[in-house]
Amino acid sequence: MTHDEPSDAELLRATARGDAAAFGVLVRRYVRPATLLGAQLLGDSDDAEDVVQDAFTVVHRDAARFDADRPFAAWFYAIVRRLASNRRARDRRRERLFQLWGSGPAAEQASPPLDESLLARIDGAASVALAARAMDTLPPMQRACFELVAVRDVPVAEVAAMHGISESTVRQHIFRARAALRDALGEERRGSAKP
Amino acid sequence: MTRSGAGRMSNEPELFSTSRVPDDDAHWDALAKRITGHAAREEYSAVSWVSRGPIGLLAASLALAAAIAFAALPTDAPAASISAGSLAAALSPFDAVGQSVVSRDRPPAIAELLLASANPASK
Repeated sequence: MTHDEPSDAELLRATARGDAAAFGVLVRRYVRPATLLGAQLLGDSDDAEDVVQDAFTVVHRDAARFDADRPFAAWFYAIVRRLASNRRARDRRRERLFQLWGSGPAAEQASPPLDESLLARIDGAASVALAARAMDTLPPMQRACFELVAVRDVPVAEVAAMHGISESTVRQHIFRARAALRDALGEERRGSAKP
Repeated sequence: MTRSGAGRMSNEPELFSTSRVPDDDAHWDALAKRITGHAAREEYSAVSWVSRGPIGLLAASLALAAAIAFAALPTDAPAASISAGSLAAALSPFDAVGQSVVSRDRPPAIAELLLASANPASK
């Protein structure tokens, strides 16, 4: 966001007055990080988009009630996390019911392969398969922070707001993820270089 | 989407990879447009208005109570309260002959009718 662009607070106040264009700018500003967050929480991009749509509907409805001087991002991402949590709980209940009836999908579905273009950005020299294996060994939050910052170019402050943690914690996760990936990839290369 | 993974700690939430999320401006523009339109439609839907806090609920409850009360009103009561005599008087013609025909128990004499029609002011 440049200095010429309106702040979140200004956009939120305008939204509360019924300014549809201001709401559109606010949506466009947050739709990408919010959907990435939703995808990390839900594991499905369509579900993530639905949750983000619901979260923005709440913002639109309650814009007048929210104190615009407080940070919008923290409020908004908290709504996304809560809606995603509700959706996961609902899906789990549904899954249990299907299992009870014996006709539902398997509890653990096979993981689809990682997007190769995304993984190729992690380490240009590493093979995609190596990077995929190394990424999969990371703890969830390390991987989530690393993916958002290093692969998706989301700023550290934004990632902190998205997951409701401090910026220093995000940096710590990224530092540890980088070290773990470096070690894992180095070991893999050494192993494959041996005759 | 792959689930991360092997080194998960018990208190950490389950988090997934975003590798399946399309990441280009055209996609985000379209999604933002869809979301903006959806929020505007929700804003003006009646259900949304009713669900918006206690005022909406109170208004909806009052409207429902009024509808139930109206439906419960006895439909034949007003008709029973109007007597046949007052109805006949209300529907009777304004001229003297008409009044004499309607408002009496017995039909008037022919002479009386003739006099009334010849001299309307006398009645």
